[in-house]
Amino acid sequence: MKPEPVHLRGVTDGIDLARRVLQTRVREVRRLAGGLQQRDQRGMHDFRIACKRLRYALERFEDLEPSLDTVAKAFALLQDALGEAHDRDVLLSILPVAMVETEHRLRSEREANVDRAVMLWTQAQELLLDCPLIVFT
Amino acid sequence: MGKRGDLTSNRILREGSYKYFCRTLARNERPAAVKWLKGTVAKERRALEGARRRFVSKPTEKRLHAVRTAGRRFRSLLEDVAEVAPSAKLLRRVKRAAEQTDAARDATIILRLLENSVDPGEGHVAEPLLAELSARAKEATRVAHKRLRRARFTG
Repeated sequence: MKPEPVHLRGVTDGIDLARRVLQTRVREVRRLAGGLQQRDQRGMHDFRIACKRLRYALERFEDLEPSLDTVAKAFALLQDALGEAHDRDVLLSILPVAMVETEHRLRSEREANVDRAVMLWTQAQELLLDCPLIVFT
Repeated sequence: MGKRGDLTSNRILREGSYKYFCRTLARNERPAAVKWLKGTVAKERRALEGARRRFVSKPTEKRLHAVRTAGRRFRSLLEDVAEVAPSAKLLRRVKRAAEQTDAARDATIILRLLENSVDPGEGHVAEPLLAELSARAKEATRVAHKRLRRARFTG
């Protein structure tokens, strides 16, 4: 999935640059959040990649705005939960049919991780609302 | 910042994007933003190059993970600032390096997950898959090591 381009023409300084990058990455994450609600593999994968981009941007601009650290940590936890669910999706796709009990366990763990990701996404959105460099449109 | 450590940002700026970047900035704010961009690109390039060197010297699972993480961070930065500091060639190199480590990462992670998830009563069914994943992880790590030995992230 290609990242949404960040429009930087006429950018004035580091803070302006950070604001524009974060604004774009937050918009991207919110656009793809439907994948998490639908719980499907492809949609969740795209959402996870978008979360990664946003997390890296948040961490990069921490020097300019220290409060971004808390949001970045929330996205790291969200990314972990999504990653655990993704790994189980990959393993389930190659698991021998005869491994019924293992499959059952992996599916339960996958759903538990998706539930955790839904909860963490709710928390992360609340933190984004308080983020000084991000304005929701 | 040393001359060697600044190769990438200098190269990006030398190849014309510096002028482009400056044109897009308000005149009185150029130095701070240019300085930030140069410093950040150089820092993330050094992190990737360092992780690559450590993996090449001793190809462990942990070091492979470090290369991939540093690569993703650097790629994300280059994509974020592409409009003011285009560096298509460098971005291609970083993407290629990530692709070269995908198979090793996938096989290793899935192998670990399977080892920890197999139901005790199904161990015998899992054995062929465990053996296949183990062989795949070993071979993919060898290939990643060979390719990353030649990789350079200098523009």
